[in-house]
Amino acid sequence: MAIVQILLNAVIAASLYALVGAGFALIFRTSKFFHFAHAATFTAGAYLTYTFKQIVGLSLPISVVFSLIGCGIVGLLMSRLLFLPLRRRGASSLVLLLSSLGLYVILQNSISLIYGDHIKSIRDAKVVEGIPIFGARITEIQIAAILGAAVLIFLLHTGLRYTGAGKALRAVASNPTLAKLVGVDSNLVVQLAFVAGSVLAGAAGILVALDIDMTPSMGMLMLMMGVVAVIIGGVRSLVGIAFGALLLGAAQNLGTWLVSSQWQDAIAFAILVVFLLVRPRGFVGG
Amino acid sequence: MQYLLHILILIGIYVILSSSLNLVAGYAGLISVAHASFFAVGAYAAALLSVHFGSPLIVNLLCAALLAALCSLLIGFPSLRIRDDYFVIATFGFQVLTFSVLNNWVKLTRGPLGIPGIPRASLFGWEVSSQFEFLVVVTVLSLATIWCCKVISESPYGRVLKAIREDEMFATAAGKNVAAFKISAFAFAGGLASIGGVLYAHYISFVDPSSFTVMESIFILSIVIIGGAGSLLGPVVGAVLLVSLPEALRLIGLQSAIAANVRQILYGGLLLAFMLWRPRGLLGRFSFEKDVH
Amino acid sequence: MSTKVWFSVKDVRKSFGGVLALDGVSFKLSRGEILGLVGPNGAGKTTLFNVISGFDAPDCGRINLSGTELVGLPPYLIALAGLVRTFQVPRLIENLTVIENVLLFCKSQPGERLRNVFFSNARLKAFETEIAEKAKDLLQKAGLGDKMLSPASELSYGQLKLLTIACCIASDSDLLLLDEPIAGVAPVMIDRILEMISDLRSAEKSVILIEHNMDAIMHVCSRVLFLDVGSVVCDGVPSDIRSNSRVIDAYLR
Repeated sequence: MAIVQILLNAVIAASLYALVGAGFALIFRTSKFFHFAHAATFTAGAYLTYTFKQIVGLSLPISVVFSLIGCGIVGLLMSRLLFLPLRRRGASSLVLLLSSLGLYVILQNSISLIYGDHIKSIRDAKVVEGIPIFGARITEIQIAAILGAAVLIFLLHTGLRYTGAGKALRAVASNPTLAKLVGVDSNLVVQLAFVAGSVLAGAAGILVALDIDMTPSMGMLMLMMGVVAVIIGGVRSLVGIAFGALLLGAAQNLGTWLVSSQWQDAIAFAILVVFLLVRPRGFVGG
Repeated sequence: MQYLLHILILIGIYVILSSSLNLVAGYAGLISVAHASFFAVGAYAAALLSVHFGSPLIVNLLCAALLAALCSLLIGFPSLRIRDDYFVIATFGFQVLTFSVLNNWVKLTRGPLGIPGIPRASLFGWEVSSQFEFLVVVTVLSLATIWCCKVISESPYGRVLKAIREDEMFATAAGKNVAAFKISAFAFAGGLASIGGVLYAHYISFVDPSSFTVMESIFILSIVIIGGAGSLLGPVVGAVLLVSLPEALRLIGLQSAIAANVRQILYGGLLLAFMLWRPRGLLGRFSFEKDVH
Repeated sequence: MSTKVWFSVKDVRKSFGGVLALDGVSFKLSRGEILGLVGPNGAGKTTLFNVISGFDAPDCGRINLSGTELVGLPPYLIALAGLVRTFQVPRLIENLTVIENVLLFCKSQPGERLRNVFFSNARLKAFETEIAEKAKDLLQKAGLGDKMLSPASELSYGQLKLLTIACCIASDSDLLLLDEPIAGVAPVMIDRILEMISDLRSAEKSVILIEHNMDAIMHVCSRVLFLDVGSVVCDGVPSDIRSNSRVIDAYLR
């Protein structure tokens, strides 16, 4: 395999990891807990698109837009119906984490109850060969994944930096008490983070499904990769997360080239352990 | 009758798994989503050893426990020395890794095909052949596990674990090496959990990766939380409840194709409901109210 | 009482995000000395405790306890080196009984090793009985004898503070850092706590005491350190402090 292809594959994988990781980090920053059900939101994105496109019969772009809106609603409902009420009762981050685990189990199994465990596809039947560049091949979907991730992360980055909502979000993330004092409605901010984070996860889910189809349990592995990207880059920096995702994607694809593709997850775990050792404060910043 | 024995054997195995997890989650206050990994280490160790070497139960148990304890050091050492929330991530990573290794290391594990034809357990020349005899073995080992947990919780060692669960800073001020205690408890729990795996492999006589997913880890964790973390009998009650309750679904005539999903939705829902209304579980002493941030 | 310097803090600095909390604190302490640490709120008293006990790392400086350099050691090793501290808001394990809290502070217990949980022997049992007896005596003396087996959550605020001091004594440490041991405690209880602190002098233990109650300071301390904006303003006998103009300034400001 040519080096260009490896790099290309790394970038494709990285854009998906970065989307999941950025969404996870957004929720983590405002709510301070490990949101496992993020994996289910990711899967929901893919299955919503399947529903709109294959069952309802809408065109792909419209299905995607509806699915993203759907994921946003899923995020909104999660925060409004579960996590905010729990927070209001003073639940600790461990309780929130356990609730999120429970929610994940319910959602994943509901999906598999409705759609079955078999692979579902939203791709067209024909085999795509890919467009050649510098001796490597890339499909249109993969280009869309890279561009889509870049655009969404850029939008998020700009939004966080320059809009009022973004400033409120950063205020709640760094000091909730102080944010409250200056009149920021932290409940609203948490909901906003959930909506935005869930849309990002859903987008990643749709892109993965367009590339390699979907199963109900596809989310967990992807969440793991997103979280590793966040561990590398730090929860506060989108650029850092993108860099982390690139590093992870590059390491995995180099590993695939040098050894074999079956060790991708082991490489991710090894990177996780190394970063836990060398950057003990990487995740929460500092 | 056979059916009842089957349920009792499963309950026994889950008592071992959940009681060992309770040492980590209930006594030391650390949430792990990697317990199915140690379950898997035990099951695959027993499967490989007895298929290739026909080794007796005792040897399988010892090898599995040792291997599982070593694996838990691999996660515990980098993560437990730093922060609690890293521990969840590291266990999550390890769980994903375990599944992937079982699935992909085809030369050793035969991948998704699994390992069939695991011989029955043999104990000092006695072959545990009937289901009833196997239940006796499971019962003895699960009682031994509960006894281990009891002795630990009443010991000075257990006292330090409980102190760490409630207030790490206080335990540190008392001169306790908090990380060392957490790591040793986690390794010991991993070793204990592998016993459940060994028994499972001999009982079902077949192992494949699909039994050891993140879902399974969450299931074991739910048993602990719903039964009551930090109490000796909590995991036992939880195991009885969560293993036998879905069987009721079968009795009311639910199709087996959807029974697995319904079963999982049921325990996911229970976990959620307990978090909302009774975070300390049925018999629990500890409700995870400690904030790690 | 030996006058040999045995504990020393040399030029300790600590800042949090650009705000200087400790600005070159130095002092020495001899065995059996009870030192009062006073100063206005935000002077850096608790920060100094956190730095000495290893919970916060100083930016620079040295801290020495009878030949052992403490800076850089993890807090649990500092505790094992013979330095124990209390917290301003009493921290105790509410789910454990009163006596279990005290036992937690006994050092080098073989029973706290995992392998000894299962391979217990006569010597280990004897050790446990011995420390349990000691803990009982200590609690009797502290007036908590009848509460020994209740969970710590059932104690009153004053009793909690009493218990934290009992824990420190049980640790058999040479240096005790007590953070406001009598603040918010009923007057009857104050006398008992002060008595326990005074008794430490005769046991050749040293104490550093943060306290706002000046009468209590006058009563038990042989020397007082006045801290303001992170540095030592005045170091002398208690009566000096009251007449020191810089101290008066700091309090009136």
